[in-house]
Amino acid sequence: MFGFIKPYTPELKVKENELYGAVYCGLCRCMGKSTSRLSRLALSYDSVFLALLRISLFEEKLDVEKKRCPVCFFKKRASVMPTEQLEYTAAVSSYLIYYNVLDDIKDSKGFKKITSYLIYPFAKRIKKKAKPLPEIEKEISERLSQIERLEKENTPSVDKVADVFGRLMGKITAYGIDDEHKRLTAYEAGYHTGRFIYIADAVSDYEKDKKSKEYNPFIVSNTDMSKASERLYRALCTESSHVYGACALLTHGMCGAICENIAQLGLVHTAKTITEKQAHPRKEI
Amino acid sequence: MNRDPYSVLGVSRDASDDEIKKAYRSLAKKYHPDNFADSPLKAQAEEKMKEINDAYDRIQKMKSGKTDFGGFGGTSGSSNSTGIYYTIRIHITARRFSEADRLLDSIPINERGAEWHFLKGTVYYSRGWYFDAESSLQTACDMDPSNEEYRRALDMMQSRARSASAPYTTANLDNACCTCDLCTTLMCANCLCNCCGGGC
Repeated sequence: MFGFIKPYTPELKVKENELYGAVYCGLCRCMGKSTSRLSRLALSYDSVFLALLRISLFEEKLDVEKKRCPVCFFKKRASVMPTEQLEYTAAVSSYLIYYNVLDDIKDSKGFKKITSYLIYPFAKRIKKKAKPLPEIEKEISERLSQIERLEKENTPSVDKVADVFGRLMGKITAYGIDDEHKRLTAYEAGYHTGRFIYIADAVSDYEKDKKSKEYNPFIVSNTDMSKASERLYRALCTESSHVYGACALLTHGMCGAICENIAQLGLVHTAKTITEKQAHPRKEI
Repeated sequence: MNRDPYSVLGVSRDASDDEIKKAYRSLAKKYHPDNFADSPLKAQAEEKMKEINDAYDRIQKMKSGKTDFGGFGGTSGSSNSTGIYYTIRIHITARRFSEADRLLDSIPINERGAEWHFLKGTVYYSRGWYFDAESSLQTACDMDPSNEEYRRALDMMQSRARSASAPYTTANLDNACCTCDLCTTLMCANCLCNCCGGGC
């Protein structure tokens, strides 16, 4: 369910691309330091988008340093130094991992269930080390349970379930913002990003879920994916337009420009890629 | 009655902004509730005033390009709405979408025709459930292909999505010409010049 929220690099300025990489590295370091080294493995592009939005919203000044990467040890990479919003994003990511793992233990079968049990102690440690955010933790737990319930009831409408995940991401994005207008706009950005993630995930997992007999709203509603691909593309593009509108109102500077690229171009590129796969599925020889 | 907003204001569909404003002001002056303050007709005047205000708002929204599914155009679809569907349309126009949805769900499945799917699509759209909205609107159009109102709503929805993807599509067209094409073209041009004996 991660990795759909990426920039469209052909249209990023070189300096914006470098800043994106530096924020990614900075977030990775933050997750390693303030949560756990293990949580680095769960870092996704989606978290970077949340971090960029929040950094721009709170007008944080970013300092960049060159640090040796623990993964590719021989390379020194530009990395943004920790800020309050990077730490917030790191904590939120660890709560999302923990509650997702809990859900997988409850609902999944076979190999996935076994791996979830194996990951659980690490996920628990990550959560324990994360910055305490009781309101956010409660929201994550409740919304993920709500999604679990809707999926168990074989809800045919992808929009209905996406709405719940959207509300969760909306609340996460808008957390701690005092200004009412900014808070509503941030909520909108998060809400439509969450909806985009859920719908994109359902589209791209369609074949896999069919094979493993897992819940997928398009399977339950007997959607002909090759015929519905254009409609899905349009739905995802409309979500992206709302994210873009919110970003355009809220963000500024280089972080803002990267967010606008992600919303206006990156999301549309993702939508095109995943829906084209459904329109022209590869036939097994 | 849920009439075409242009006929409520007594103007043609291609009336200018000034003509629409003038018509609105003239009707507002005529039916303003203050003119009926001590009259038993006050309630009727208020209702008429509301109809005029709604019509003006809907025309403004349509002109500004906002998708307003409350703006049911003067087609046979809307003027024939009776009973529960008429009530649902009133709720939608007043943006009481939950109430409209509740009434829609109360209609038995075997009685759900094109109008049901159109109104359901409108409610989905108001919630931002775009996949379900387009599915419902498409079903409405399939069930009643000659209905302009349903077709217009579907077109408006699809054109919004097209505008959303336009910057990406443009960027990809711009990136279509690569430097290899440029080099090849220059090489060919150079060969041609040499063939003609010129020393460019």
